[in-house]
Amino acid sequence: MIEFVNVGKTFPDGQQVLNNINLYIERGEFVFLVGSSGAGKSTMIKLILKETEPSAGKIIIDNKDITKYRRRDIPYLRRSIGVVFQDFRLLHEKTVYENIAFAMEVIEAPPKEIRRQVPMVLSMVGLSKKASLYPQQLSGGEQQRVSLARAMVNGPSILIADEPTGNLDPDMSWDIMKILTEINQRGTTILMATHDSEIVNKMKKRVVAIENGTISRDEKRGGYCCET
Amino acid sequence: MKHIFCNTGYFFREVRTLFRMNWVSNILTLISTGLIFFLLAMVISGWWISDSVMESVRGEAEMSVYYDERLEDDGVMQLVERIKEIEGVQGAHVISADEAYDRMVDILGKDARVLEYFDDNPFGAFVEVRISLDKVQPIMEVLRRTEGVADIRDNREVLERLHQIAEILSVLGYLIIAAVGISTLVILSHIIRQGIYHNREQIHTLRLLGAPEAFIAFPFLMAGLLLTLLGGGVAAALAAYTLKFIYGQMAGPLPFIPLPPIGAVIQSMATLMLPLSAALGIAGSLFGLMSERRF
Ligand SMILES: Nc1ncnc2c1ncn2[C@@H]1O[C@H](COP(=O)(O)OP(=O)(O)OP(=O)(O)O)[C@@H](O)[C@H]1O
Ligand SMILES: [Mg+2]
Repeated sequence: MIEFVNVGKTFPDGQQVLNNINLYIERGEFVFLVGSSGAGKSTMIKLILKETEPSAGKIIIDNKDITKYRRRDIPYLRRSIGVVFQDFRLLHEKTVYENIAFAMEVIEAPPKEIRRQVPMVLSMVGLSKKASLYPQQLSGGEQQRVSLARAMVNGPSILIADEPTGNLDPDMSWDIMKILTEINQRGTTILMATHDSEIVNKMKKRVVAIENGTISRDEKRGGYCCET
Repeated sequence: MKHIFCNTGYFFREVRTLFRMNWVSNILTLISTGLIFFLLAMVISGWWISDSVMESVRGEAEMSVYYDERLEDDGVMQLVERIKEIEGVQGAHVISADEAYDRMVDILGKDARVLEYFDDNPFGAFVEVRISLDKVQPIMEVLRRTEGVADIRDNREVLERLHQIAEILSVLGYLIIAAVGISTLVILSHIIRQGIYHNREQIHTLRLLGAPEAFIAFPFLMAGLLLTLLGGGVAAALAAYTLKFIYGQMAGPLPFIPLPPIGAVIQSMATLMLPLSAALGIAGSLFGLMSERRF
């Protein structure tokens, strides 16, 4: 599903962030990406979304080498991947409903489909009653649920989350994790970068740790830190 | 792109948001493009009018042939007949001294009072000869050799002067058109870039959600088009008003200038301004979009 083959990333300023990364994530897996601040977690996520290019190696998504993609192929790649960010990235002048519908408008989905799909994902994240509110009128956890609904509305096979609970208190974080677990159980592959040791330890999922530009640990049912 | 037209609702909402978020600079843009287009509309109308005036004045080349004062009426009649036979002459008739005086009174209008200072009529009788402009030289030569002709005046110089003025006007027109084109492009691409800059977060999010570039660009293009179209409309209306006013002012003191019908001028001006402003709007927006690709 997601494969890194000998991937290296050196920024133009000469800083080598990733060095010879080899990683294989299977369809339907739930993977935590951990590592200290500046280790390169977000960089790996940006590589998958083709926000930035690797300096070496290749990245294979769904059996396709995305490093070979041309500029105009990028939108199609991104549509097959749902993304959630630490800072939600909702559009402030749009309601909850519009924020989600918008992700479908982007891929030119027919309006009928939009009217059917949006209420469905809204109920999945438990926000049916807040559809007409604006993001500022929601709590952080609710905003993150909206952004989860937006990521899932087009039914992507991969969901990528960069510190989705980074701005949330523990209760809200667990709400999000419950939804993510549910999404994963329906078959979506999930890659989540996080600093939240409690979550990682309790979830008992695969953990990939990055350190000094390489994968220092890759455990099937791992914890946040060394003790398994 | 296949469903892009299903989403016109989305695009209209986006355009509305673009205007709402930035309405002060949008209004300023509207005013400045409107004024610039107004300038353009006036220059183009002026062009047309001077062209049409030139066209009709060109057909009115004429000479005034003054004859020997000792000539009797019979002799004058014979002279007129002889002039009519010269090749290139379209017509000739005698203007008496009184007629010449009355004409000058017409031309001078309110200033005709100066004529009262003369004791006698200062104008003499002459033969007015209508000719084709390209035959001036040969006709002159024949007339000079004709008996009884004392003096010949032609309005060729005036015509040539007019022609020069028209030429200067057209060069000026090209300059103004170029200036207007460039400033519209600059102003518009600037406002589009500003819009893109204000929305850079949203545009980045859009890109990450897999929006094609055309989808992202379309609302900006529409906003630019709308702004210039509105500006063009305002300019056309303003120019129509101004033309009417100018026509009204000219009709009194300068009745002999053969102005083309105002309705036709306004109509062609408006039908030119709208597509022209739309084209400039699209070009300016594309320009702005291209220069802000990095967001
Ligand atoms: N565009 C860039 N140019 C140069 N260096 C960059 C760029 N983007 C990231 N870096 C560097 O790459 C390193 C890894 O950054 P990255 O954002 O991937 O870390 P991270 O693991 O996500 O950290 P955090 O947990 O704090 O989010 C950092 O040292 C950062 O300074
Ligand atoms: Mg990060």
